[in-house]
Amino acid sequence: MTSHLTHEQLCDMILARSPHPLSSDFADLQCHLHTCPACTEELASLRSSLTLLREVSTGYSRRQLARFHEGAPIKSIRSTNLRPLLWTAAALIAIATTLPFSLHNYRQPAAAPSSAIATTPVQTQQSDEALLEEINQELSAPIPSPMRPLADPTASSATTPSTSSRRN
Amino acid sequence: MESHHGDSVESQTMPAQAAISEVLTATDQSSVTPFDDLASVVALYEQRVFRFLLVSTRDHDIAQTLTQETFLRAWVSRASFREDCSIVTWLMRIALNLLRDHTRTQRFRFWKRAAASAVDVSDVSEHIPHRDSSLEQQLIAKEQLNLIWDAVAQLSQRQRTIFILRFVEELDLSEIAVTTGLPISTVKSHLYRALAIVRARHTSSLKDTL
Repeated sequence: MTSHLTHEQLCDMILARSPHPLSSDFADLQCHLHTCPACTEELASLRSSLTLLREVSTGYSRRQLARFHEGAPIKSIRSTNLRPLLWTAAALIAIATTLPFSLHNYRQPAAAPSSAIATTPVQTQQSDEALLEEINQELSAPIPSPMRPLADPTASSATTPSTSSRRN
Repeated sequence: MESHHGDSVESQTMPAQAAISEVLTATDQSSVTPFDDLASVVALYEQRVFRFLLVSTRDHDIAQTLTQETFLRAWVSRASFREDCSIVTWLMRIALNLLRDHTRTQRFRFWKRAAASAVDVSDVSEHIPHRDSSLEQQLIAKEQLNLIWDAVAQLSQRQRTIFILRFVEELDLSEIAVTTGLPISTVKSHLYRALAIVRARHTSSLKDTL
């Protein structure tokens, strides 16, 4: 017999498939377990863990099932069939909320153009104001300029210097 | 015929019954399978089916849904129950088929990552029995549970199913073979490999503590 139980021997003992109690193999295994604390401890530890897993699973599943029984009328709302829809709706809301901000940032990638835009109106502000003032005067005039009577041509010729007279 | 392993039967079994009560009332009651008295079957086995699915999926919402589907499918296909296996074995076979179909989808894998109903070991550890009243023993038990919980998560799907059927549901190897449709030798082989992984985790933990 080896110094310790083989993996198969240990598994057979855990699986309750050890040799027949009257066989010599069973007697050898029992004799080894009595004399080998390492194998005894490992076997006990594994059995203890497996028992613990079963007891804990039983207790937890019993409580969860009781909760489902208590909340049976609302169970359909919390069912997994609806959860993807709820998650999808939440994702769409999140996208709809963040998309405008991301597009806004995408269209203004750098700060330099904005400063250029900020400086340009300073240069053109005076001409813009003059243009607006001219428009205001046009609008406030009682007679639009295209409909105003033409000036007297004779008066203009009399007042103008005789630069146009022929010097023949 | 089948073993109950000392599980206490839940007195309340309304969710699974409510899901199929309309079907029951609208159909013929003249057949003679055990599943004709579905209320009794649900009362006896809902706890076990739910436990198997809960430990397998680690998601109580999915486990609850699949448990209801298991009993519904068992009742719908009750004519095919030949009583060549126990009721619990037949139910576990149906539950396992549903579990395979469900976990095979990409949708399950995606939602499992973000599921609020996922079971964590801290939730489960609240149910560690307090036979040992000392704080040291409770800490050791918690560490043991963490180890085996992680080790079971490392198993392959098939190894995990067989492991749970044996050590949580305490089915015999022949019952596991019927449930999974595998030869007994293959079942044993999967159990040996699964136990090797569990042993390795235990051994590494012992070395860390020493």
